Amino acid sequence: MKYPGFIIVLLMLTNCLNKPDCIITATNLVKIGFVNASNQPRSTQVDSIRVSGKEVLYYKGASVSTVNLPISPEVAEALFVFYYEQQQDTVRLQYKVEPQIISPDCGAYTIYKNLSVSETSFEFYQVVTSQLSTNATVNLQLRIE
Amino acid sequence: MRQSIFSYVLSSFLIAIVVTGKAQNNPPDSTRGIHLPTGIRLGTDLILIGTSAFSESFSGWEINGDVDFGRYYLAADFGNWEREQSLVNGLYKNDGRYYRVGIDVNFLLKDPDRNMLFFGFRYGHANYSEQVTYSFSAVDFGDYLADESNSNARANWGELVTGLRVKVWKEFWMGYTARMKLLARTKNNDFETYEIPGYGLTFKNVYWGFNYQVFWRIPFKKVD
Repeated sequence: MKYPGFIIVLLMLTNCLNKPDCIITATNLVKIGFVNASNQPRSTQVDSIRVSGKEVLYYKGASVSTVNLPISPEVAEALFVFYYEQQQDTVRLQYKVEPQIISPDCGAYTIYKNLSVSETSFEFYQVVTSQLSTNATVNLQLRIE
Repeated sequence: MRQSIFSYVLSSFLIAIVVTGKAQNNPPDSTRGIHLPTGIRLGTDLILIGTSAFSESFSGWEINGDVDFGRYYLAADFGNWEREQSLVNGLYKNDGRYYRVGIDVNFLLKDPDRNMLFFGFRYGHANYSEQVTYSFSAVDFGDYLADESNSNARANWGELVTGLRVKVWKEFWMGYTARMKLLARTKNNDFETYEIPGYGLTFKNVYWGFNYQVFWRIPFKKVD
């Protein structure tokens, strides 16, 4: 080995760069984007959205191209019913809920990952990001013709 | 602490380079090559024992052993590790056993007491369980208290090691081992492991370890 000292210093520096921070981006909000046939954001007149496990209706009378809908940490499945533009469509999602520990000072938090669509009446959909995060642009795209 | 470990490792490397360079100019001697073992050295890590005595959150011990085959040593460690760590929003616990096996190469070829300045590698393996209880909030669903566990988790990793073994009195030896632990992999996990017994925190790609050890050597036969 020609440069053992250099390699060790490099590994030490790599180690220093791996310190945890307390920036928690995990969320239980699924970011859903409506797109048109060209995959461009589509403003949609939503009458309301029903979320499984919740009594309240979301986005009543709103004109939106993205919505943030909550999912429960107690179950691994969620059903969303969309009432919009005289239509009704559903999306059933599956996901995994698990804890992640950062450090004693930052604590533990819950992550929601492996998001997938198990059932839907939308003709086209795409899971863009399968882990829920406040940084995610969108988790799921639903195409509305 | 980390800086001193780094200094130890770096200085050991530098000494080894010098020693190796000089040794390569020497004619072959009886310590070269592989020979039948002359004894087994058994010991323990004083740092782990000290940490267990003074820490409220950690308890652990480790048994270390090696057998000589000329300048090569077959080394093995077995350890026990328990941690109960308070988190800002809960409590984390782990409990496990681990072992390491590997080879050390002695670079002090001419020492009459067979003191060692060695380099080597280890394969490490741990069987453990871990549990986390914590509180959290979910938007529109309220507050929760979660209690999750990894009950039959396993992990393995590699180590590059260096250190010293010095004969202090009769068959009593002391020494240190500095470890550069890397490539940790976990299996059978319901959630991402926070700390692997024998390894340390998993978010670090490279983890440094240090043992200060005492040994008693049981000879099989008289060393030439």
